Amino acid sequence: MAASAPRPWWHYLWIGVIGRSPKRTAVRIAVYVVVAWGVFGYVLRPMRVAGISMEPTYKLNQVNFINRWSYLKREPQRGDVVAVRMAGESVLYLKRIIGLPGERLRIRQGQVYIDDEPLREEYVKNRAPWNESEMELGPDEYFLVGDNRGMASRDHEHGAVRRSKIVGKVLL
Amino acid sequence: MNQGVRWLLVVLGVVGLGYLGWLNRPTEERRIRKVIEGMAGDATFTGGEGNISRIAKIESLGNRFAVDAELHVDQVLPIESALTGRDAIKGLLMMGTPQIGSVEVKVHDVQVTVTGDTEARVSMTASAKTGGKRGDFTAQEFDIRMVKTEGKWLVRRVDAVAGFRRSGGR
Repeated sequence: MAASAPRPWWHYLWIGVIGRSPKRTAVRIAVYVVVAWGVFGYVLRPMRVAGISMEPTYKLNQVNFINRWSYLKREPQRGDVVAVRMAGESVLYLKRIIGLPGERLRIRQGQVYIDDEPLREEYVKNRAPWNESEMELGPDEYFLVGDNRGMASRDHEHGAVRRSKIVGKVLL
Repeated sequence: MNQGVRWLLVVLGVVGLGYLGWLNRPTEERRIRKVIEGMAGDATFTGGEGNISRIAKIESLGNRFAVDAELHVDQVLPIESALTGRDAIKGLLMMGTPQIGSVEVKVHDVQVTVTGDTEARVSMTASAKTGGKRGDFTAQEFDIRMVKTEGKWLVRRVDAVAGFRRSGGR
């Protein structure tokens, strides 16, 4: 019976990190990198909340993902929280869709009216007395606003945007 | 090593360096991008900065505008109409800056289009983050027209691009 010599510590480190088959590990890493590049580059865009306009639903510094493929087969719906591009996609607005194309929308004392019907919004916890005169949305326009309606209207970016500006829906 | 192989390596190295140099050559786009990034640096203030340093930065920021520059930011700032002239813009900056504690200004998605020998357009998003635990974050899209005067790219006109259409028209 032959006794094998004790292996040095780095041998176990090598096995733990690289595995028994370095070639297979290299292929596995390459696959992970390609999949991560594809998923996070083209499908799920990571983002971090930087403002307070979506509180309390999304809090400051919370991390989330934008699903760019969410509207490939269907159109944005009322209640969806979406990301809106500016000059590019490095900085995005995070807002909720409350008005759909062709609808008439106004805000009276903080209450939103769509085609003269009050809109039920359970996600709004504080409501400052915002007033916005009636506007009609164009055929490819959506009305977006944050959930934090307790803040002053002038400090809260909201309004109509074109469909092409919507990057995708928030994943979580 | 064979003499021929050595020479081949030298030639390849020179070609590679030349290619890198060509890639990083100072194009007009690059010069304009540098001006825009410099503006963001001039508009960034740390909390501990003294008044002299702040004034120097405002002066530097103001000098990046053409003498007859126009600032159309009434859609996003409480300014009644467009500001015209470098001095008026400097005046606005001088008025506003002492009230700011610390602010970090960054530019994102800078797209430069050179439209002529002395003209260019820039589309970009600028963001500003003020200090504090719950520091305020704001971002704004801008359309900028640049003009080349005496070899220097200067800002000729700034238009704030409204991200959202509000009632009453854009």
